[in-house]
Amino acid sequence: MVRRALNVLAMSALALGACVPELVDDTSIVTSPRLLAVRAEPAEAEPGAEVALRGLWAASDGGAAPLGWAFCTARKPFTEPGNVDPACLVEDSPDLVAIGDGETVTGTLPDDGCRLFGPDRPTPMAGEPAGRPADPDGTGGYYQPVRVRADGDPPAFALAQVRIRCGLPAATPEQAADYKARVHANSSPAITAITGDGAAVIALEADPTAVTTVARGATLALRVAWPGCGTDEQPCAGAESYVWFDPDARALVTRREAIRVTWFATAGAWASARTGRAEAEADQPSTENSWIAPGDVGEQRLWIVVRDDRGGATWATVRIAVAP
Amino acid sequence: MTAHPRVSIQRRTRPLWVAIALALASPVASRSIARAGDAAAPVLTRPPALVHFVEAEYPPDAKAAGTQASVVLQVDIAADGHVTAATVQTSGGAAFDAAAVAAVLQFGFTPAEVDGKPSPIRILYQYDFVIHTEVVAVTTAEQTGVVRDRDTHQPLAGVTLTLDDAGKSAVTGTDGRFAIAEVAPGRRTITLTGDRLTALQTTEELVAGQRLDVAYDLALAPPPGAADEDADDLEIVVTAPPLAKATASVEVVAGQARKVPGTGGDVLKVVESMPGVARSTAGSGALVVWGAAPEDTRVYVDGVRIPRLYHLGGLRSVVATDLVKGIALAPGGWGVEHGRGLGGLVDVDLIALDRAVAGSVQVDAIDTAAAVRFPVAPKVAAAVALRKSQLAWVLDHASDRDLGEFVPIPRYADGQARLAYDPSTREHVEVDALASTDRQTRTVASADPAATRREDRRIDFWRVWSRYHRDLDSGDQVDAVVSLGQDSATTTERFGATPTELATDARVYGARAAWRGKLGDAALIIGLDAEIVDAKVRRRGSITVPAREGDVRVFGQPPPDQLAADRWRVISASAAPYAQLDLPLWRKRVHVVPGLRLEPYLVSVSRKTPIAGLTPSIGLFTEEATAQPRLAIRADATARLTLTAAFGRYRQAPQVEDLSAVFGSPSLPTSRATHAVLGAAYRWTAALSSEVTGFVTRSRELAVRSPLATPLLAQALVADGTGRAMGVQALVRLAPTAGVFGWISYTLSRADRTDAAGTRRFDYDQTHVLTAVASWQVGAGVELGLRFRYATGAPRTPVTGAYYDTRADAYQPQFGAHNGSRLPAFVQVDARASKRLRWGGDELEIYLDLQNATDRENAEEIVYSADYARKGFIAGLPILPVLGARLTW
Repeated sequence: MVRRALNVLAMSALALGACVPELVDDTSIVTSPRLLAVRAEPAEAEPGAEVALRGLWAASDGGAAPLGWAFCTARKPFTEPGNVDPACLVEDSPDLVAIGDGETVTGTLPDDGCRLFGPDRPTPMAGEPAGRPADPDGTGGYYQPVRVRADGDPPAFALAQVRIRCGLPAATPEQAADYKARVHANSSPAITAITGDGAAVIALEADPTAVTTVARGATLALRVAWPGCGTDEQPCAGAESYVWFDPDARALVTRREAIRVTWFATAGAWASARTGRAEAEADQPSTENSWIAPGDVGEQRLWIVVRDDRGGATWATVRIAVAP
Repeated sequence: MTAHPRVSIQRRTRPLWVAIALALASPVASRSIARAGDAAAPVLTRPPALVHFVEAEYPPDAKAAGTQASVVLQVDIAADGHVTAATVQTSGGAAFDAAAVAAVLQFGFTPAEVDGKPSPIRILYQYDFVIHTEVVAVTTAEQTGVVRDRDTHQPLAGVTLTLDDAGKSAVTGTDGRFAIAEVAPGRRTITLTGDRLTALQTTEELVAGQRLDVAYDLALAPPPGAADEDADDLEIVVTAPPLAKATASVEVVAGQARKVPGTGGDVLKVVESMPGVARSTAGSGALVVWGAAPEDTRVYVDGVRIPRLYHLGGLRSVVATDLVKGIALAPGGWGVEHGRGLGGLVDVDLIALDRAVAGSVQVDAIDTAAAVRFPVAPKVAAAVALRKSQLAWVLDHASDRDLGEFVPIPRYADGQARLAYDPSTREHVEVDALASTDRQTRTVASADPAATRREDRRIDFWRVWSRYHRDLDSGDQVDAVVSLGQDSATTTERFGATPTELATDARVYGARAAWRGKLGDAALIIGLDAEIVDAKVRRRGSITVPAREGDVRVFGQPPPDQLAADRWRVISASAAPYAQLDLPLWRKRVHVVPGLRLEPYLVSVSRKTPIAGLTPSIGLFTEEATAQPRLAIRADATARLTLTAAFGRYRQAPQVEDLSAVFGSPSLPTSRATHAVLGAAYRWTAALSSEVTGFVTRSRELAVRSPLATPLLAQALVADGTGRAMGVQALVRLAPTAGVFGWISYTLSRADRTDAAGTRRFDYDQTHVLTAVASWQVGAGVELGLRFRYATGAPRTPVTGAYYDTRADAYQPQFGAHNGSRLPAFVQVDARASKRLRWGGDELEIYLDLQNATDRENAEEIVYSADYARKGFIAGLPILPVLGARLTW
């Protein structure tokens, strides 16, 4: 009894940090068509290079993707808490450069990407010195924003970002030279295997007719794997090693990518919406999750999106037959 | 020596010269004289002279009505000079005529001489009845006043006041008042003695022809056998001239503050219940007064600046409760003795150490505190106090859950040590040390590597200072304080792979000296306030994290993943000479207090621009001289009504964290503010008083984020922000009366900020803040308390939509008008009950502090679903009972 009273007191004391309401993250259940991921090929390119952009449009009926693509050339100010200037997300912004429509488009990266979004100092205004360069992300990368518009009423917007390869102007000449010698463009991850309850699960990207059967209400233990990568700074479709300039220590450091997997389904429930391997776990080239099939018999789809933390992405689509 | 004008009602006569004139010039007189000497043509050789004057009785009705009159009489004077008859020639009215005749018949004259011989004579005499003002030169002074209990404001009877002027003395009556008349002017020492009082002395300047009316608030020794809570408060506080409090200051003594519900017995927590203070988010411990950002308010302990008033979590203050005598909050309009802040001023006054042995231990679920005071030698006393949190330990043992995953549990400790030495009755030397440490850690594990979170905050600071005080033979006073300290604060967060680290280590050197004396009738303060801060800062992470005032943000939103890093050093110094004059006017009923603070700010930043390759770093030195005039006026319009006004200009050096070439701007100038205050205080009774204060503050050159998409190098922050706050605060306060005390404070205010994006509500703006506090001694050692608080919800920027960020795999919010909505209003009732058990000189108090007694779910923050389609509110404090005990001896 005393312990229970203390427990109440303890939980009351949690008010120090207050009580957070339960707002369930149900974004892993796809109830209407939407964009789940974008993959750029190559995953990292220099400004002016041509890239192919492909969207993962999740629709239970497999309908065509009503997507419109545009590069955004607006750089976000420091007053903006998000990752892109809000001007990129309005319907007719002068900062947009159209790429094309459809599930897959090909466009040429703007030439001034490293000035707008990278480490090169922006072109100065008349009578003023050059401005402040942009900061890299945690992996040392810079990104060209891409606005993706999905038709609808109202239209929905999404943001994609293509990693652009820029120099290292703030480093010493020796560091810059060393960096140039060691750096390699990011490679998108690849999925080497998917297993369900220990058995191989065939993705639709490999076999458009493949179906995996699961009993209704059953739990399917899924595991997705990607290539194992070594610690040498070589291109790899897994948690690859790369050279990174530590802005604090001002030194070049070898790091490993983190891999993050997002799980989507048209119905049922996931044990976790996202799983993955942090950088410290990069030697483990797989992750697990569980999907609980819905109680209704029918066909469902699963999407498994694998991302590295340098802007690379890939995915697999699984057709599930929920059986009695 | 001055003449003292005094209005009176008196009669004035114009006897002799008027009579002579009439006798020589009037036809009537000439004829009379002529008749008297027809045969020999006598000649008046000596006119009569009035030698015995009798004042006529002024007719009472006419005097009351203020009527004046003149009566012309024909007066017959015998040869021996006595008056034989008086008849009215020109009437001034029946009453005046009769009074004049009656008086004149009693007159005596020197015999008139005709042809050299005494002779009877008839003259005309005009008697004027006038009401006039007479100027009377007064060569002595008078002192009157009232003596009250400092805590209760109840009048004290039987207190003897003795002046060093031939032992003139007076004893206070039942109303606490006294009067001592005909005192030789000059600087006089007054000694106050009485029951439960040690002999106290104070000095007053008495001016001939003037009456000095003062109020002495005295702290009494506890009754024999009673617990001695405030035994150290045996000192005199002169609350009326010559000392005047800050124009908008609110003070609370420790004895009352400790009993306020919701404070958990922490004296300094009472600041949150004072007028002008906005309610801070639960657990933040931030002080927001009059529309100023928390970092703009300065906190002083015994005149030494400390970086924060509360520990992390806001549950406790950093100063030992038992060593606090009182606390004063001046939200604005404060004097020249302090500076380097744009907002409010919190002044914590420590108790004076005496030679008594006393101590206390307080234990509850939150922490344990102990304090002891003791004599070391005949003239040396010491005190030590320690406090350590145990909330984490309690929670670990009380709950099966790892609470650290959900909320950051504060872990803190603080300590104080004091050593006081009185070389003589006029000198006091003290060495103090104060240290505080805070730890707050939270780890949220997740299968998603991007969702793992770790927060670690560490805040440490210490101060060591030495104070010297001397009362000079002239009655002037000299104070000097030198201090040394260290402020260290580290915030480390990791949101997925995105790190945030901000670490500041600053060595703080301070020195203050002041001379207080008289300049004629005026009180003069001349001083110097110097401070040097040598700070080393290290920062890594997104430029927008930690968030600053004005940032648009949503609770739980992952920080931008654009990262930078910088290390820099800032040395800022200022030595501000200041002077303040307290000019008493109109018999000291009006005090005009002009002051001037001259403050040069010298700032040296180690790096002017970000590191670029092998380019050597170039530092930046800026120098800014500022003049900060301030003026306060206090007028005792009546014995009950006091009017106040204040105006002042204030400067504040940029925060060292803002002077980074990467995250801020090394060239930021000082921010500036102007305060204007107008108030009135009315004392309804000896215990019940009320105050109303209106205020307007304007600030400019505030550091704000550059609105440019491509800001100039080393200008991520620009000094383009301005602020405005205005409002009215009211306080109705009942001093302890029949075991009851309390107050109601209400603040109506509006605070805005303007930058390149336009004008918006200040992040901490709260239109209405109402606090009601009441404490009641029921009897038998039982005391009950209640606190009610209402505050308008803080502004928030509404989320109007969201977009999906495919790289981050997260929805990002789209915002509406900046600070365009508000959290729901905050309403909370806190209660406190305590029982005191006394034996001998010891006391045990058992208390239950019940926060949020109604268990109301107050919204502290808005939280959104992952796709921002739904929102909810983070509820603050549920009902939180804190049971504790406090033993004092």
